Amino acid sequence: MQRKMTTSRKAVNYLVLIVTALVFMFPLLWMIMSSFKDDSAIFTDITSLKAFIPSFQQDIFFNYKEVINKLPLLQAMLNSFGYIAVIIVLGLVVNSMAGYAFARLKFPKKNLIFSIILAVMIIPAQTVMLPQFSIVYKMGLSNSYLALILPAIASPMYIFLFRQNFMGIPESIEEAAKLDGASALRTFFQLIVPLAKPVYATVTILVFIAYWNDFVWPVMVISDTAKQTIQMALSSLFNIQPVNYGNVMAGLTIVTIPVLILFLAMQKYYVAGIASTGAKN
Amino acid sequence: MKSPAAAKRKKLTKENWTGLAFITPAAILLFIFLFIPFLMTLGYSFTNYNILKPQAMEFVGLKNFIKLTQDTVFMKSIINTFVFVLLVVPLQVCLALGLALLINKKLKGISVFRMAFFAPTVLSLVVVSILWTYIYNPNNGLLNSLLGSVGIGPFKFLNDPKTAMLCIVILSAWQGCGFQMMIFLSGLQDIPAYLYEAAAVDGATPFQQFRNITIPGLRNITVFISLSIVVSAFQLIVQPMMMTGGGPQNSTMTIVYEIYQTGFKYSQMGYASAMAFVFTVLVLIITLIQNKLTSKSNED
Repeated sequence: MQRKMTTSRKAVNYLVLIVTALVFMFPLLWMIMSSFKDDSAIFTDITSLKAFIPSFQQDIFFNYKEVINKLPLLQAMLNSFGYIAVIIVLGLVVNSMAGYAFARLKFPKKNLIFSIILAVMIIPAQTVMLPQFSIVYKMGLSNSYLALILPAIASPMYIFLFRQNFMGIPESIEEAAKLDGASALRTFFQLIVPLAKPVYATVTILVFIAYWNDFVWPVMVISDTAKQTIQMALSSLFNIQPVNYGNVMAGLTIVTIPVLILFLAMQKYYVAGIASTGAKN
Repeated sequence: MKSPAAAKRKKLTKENWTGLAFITPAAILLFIFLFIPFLMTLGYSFTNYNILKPQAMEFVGLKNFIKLTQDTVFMKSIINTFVFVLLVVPLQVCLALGLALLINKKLKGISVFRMAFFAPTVLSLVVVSILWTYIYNPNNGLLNSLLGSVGIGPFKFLNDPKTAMLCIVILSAWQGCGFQMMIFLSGLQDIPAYLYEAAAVDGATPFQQFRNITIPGLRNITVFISLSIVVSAFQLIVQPMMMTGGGPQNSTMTIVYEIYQTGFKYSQMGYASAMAFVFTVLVLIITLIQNKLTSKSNED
């Protein structure tokens, strides 16, 4: 950019950044710090900046132990991991194959079908949520993970994302495979998929975060406590009486850790996803 | 012996089949879980369908839509949704732009700050809603305690129909703005550096540079960002569902929450579908405006 910054300007910049970051992060700081305190400490500290400073006087993880005993959070996490893994694997295969067909293969009515897929992309999920519920109900899938998985596999947005990406791969690569007599299926899985790893990573993290955080649809189709997803389990934090702030904050922190780890590990791909889709979900 | 034309046709056919096979799984799933439900929403909205009494379903014409115009809660939810959109869009755009300007600097460790500002966007709305409910708690919440120690307040926050929606606006903008900050950041980095250099040579102040180079350079991105926030803001449901239950006095009831309540809680699928129909039309209008504005600005 412009001229090199002087040391004093740098210091001012850092100061502004640090103050803004602290103000911006105050809810998260409070959440994490309170998760290590008991309620009497939380309420003593709450009227001052001490609310954002840790106090390590006792077994600091006691809130975590308590909340795990009160709520089936770990079971719910496993449930979420399980069903989301299935969505990710099936979704990657189904959407990327369709994206490849639209990018490279010739078949009748291709452009018409593609425009229909682009058009349904703008239907908001909430428009179809009730009929989806009634379809799932009629199929006898209520209270089963299939009700969470089946509607989530195919996605117009990811088909579009895969198509754009495959169109950027030089066609000459496939020409060589075609001359060797490789089938389209083999060309796709052995040649194209390895070349497009980054877009698979992007879709994986977008799907994971979207469904890890999904709430309304699971509430509609899952009623069995043993099958509940992580956000459902978390929402019952409100119902534990008496309300214990420390426990709640520990619960919120636990649920955030997996997304945060995945996000930090794959932030490059996540940011690429924002750039190419411009929106969440 | 085969003619070349027949051979060519045969080859084409094989590729056709492959192409169709590749799209079939996605096509079937989208057909069952998106296309059909969409048509069902349109169809149900002209019936009195109740999921508990499916055999009693009757065609009722426009009755649902007429009933909607007299439904004060639904009208209130439309107004609330618009109020939410009108407040959250400028706030979120300004926050996102401000943060993007702050982190658009070549400093050591800037990525740490970028991650800090981005972090709330990966939190779930359930987590954010529960957390802010405790922050807003009028009795022993964080905000009233902190403000009280410097002699401000106390406020009723979510318990006051006048301020409840504003409280949801603030946490929603806070949760979402990191996303748009990233898009603004890439926009800022696309503005050629020589423009600033030339302006600095001409003696333009940083503020003049911001007004005459940065703002015009970000115009298209701002339009795009604003309208995508509008579309997602229209779908507000989790925050009122978790924090207020739509209250107090329906002041935080939104269109989608009302659709959910009517169709799912009270099983009135037909009536809720009419609401979803109205909602879809509203979202489609915004999307069309978005497409028109963004394609126009691309031509510039």
